[in-house]
Amino acid sequence: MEKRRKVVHTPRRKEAKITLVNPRGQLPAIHQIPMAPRLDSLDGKTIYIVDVRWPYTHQFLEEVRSIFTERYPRTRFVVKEKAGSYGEDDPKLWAEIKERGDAAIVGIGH
Amino acid sequence: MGVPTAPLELEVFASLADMYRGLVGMPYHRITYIPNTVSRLSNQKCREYILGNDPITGRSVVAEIVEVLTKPLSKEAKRAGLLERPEPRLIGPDTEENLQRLFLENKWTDFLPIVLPTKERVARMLKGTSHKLDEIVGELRAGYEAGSYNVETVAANAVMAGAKPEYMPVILAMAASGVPAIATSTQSFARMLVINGPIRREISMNAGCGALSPFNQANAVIGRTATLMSMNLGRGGVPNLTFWGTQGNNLNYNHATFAENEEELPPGWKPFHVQKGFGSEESIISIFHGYGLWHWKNTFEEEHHKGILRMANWILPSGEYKSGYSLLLDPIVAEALVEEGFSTKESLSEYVYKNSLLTLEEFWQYHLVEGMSLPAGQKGIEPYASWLKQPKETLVNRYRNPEEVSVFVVGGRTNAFWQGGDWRLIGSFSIDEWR
Repeated sequence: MEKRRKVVHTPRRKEAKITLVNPRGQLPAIHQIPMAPRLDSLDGKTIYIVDVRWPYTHQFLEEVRSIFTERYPRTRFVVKEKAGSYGEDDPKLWAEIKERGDAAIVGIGH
Repeated sequence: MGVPTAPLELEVFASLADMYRGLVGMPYHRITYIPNTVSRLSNQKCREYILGNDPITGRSVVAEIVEVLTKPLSKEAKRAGLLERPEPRLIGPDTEENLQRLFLENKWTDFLPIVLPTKERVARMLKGTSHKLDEIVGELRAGYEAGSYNVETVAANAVMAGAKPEYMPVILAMAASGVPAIATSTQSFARMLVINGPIRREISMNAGCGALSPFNQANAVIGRTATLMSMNLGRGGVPNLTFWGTQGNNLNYNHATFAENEEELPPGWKPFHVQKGFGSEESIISIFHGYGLWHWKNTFEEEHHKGILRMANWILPSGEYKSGYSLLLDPIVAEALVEEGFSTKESLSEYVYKNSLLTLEEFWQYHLVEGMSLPAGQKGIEPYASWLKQPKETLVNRYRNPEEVSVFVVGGRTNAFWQGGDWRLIGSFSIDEWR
């Protein structure tokens, strides 16, 4: 009779586990802002078209005004350049739009 | 603004716009996209884009804009609230293999091999500074929001880069500066990091032969850490989301980090940090913004100062978008310039400033001048306001002052070569504060 060979099961070596220090910085909480109520229609409204002043893009915003004026003759479209360069805020313009406008189209980044 | 607003954006930035509206607290804001950049685009082509379709939705651009302004909001869009996003202090426990994969898949590395920041390794790195691990160091904004961090988090990035504990004061000085090494711009810029003072020798930096090449641990790792910190602390560096440099910049791997060869300065030539008002025994890191370095072989003049002036005229004029010119001179070149009559670094800077001129006609044509100096002039800011009234043939200085021309001595005397580039100084920061 053949001698049975003893089978020895070697336990699988557990891979070591390590703990790391997180290299990521902390981020601030996000405040969700409720969006402004929408218009019922464009008729009779004043819509500002804001040029954010990326170099050599003003012609695009003028074409937006031209096309929207053609299509929505009962709406007033006003093109305004934001003051300063493309990266600067313009609180005066936002205040003007809030006071005298009903909505805004804003562009364009590049 | 408080009124319905329809933003217009380019298709290529859709992923960014999607992320950004969440960051500013308006995740439900609707945005209309057009196919491509409109900068310098003809009126006819602009009309085609406006009358065409949004490339993402396939719907009419005009109809979408009207819908953004008029379609009633969902309940979610009318909500207010606060969303906290804390990062855990520790990651794991897990196997090394899994953690390496986690870091790569989350884009927390520069895709070169990293040293995992185990608690033990970070503890050893912290011995390089007297500052406590939970001390807040500062904020970096390399993406669209600023991340804040403490000494321990900075140390974790230093471990990843392969730093030694003795580099920590330099790395902490960079982290405390608030200057990210990379940013979101479509321009692919980089930083140049120049170290002055005793720390150079203490951590065995290279200021001689091959100083800008990958042949020295401190030079290599300090610059590398700058990028890792910008990615991890400053939340930048993800292409098409938080990094938009259309081609990228190879200098982002290590940011032209070198030590000035103060020991080889000719008599009368001061170390850069001393020029900026620091004591010679202070250790300082100076951080520059720019794009690249050109070798002297792109000029042909026999006298070095003439070649230096030729290269100076390639640089963007400095205006509201500040520019600068930096010279990296081998010690042999510095000595030759003294013989050419430049007994101080300042006299060389003055020479370049006075002689690098351009007409107003040329000045106003530069892209970043049109975008920044022109609106400044229109707002009445000088000298641009006056320049708008002057004839186009009027000559003006390319640089705003001689200090925008920075001069360094670095190199190992193997030849009379120099390099120059469009580097302007952002600031010089104390390393000693972080010992």
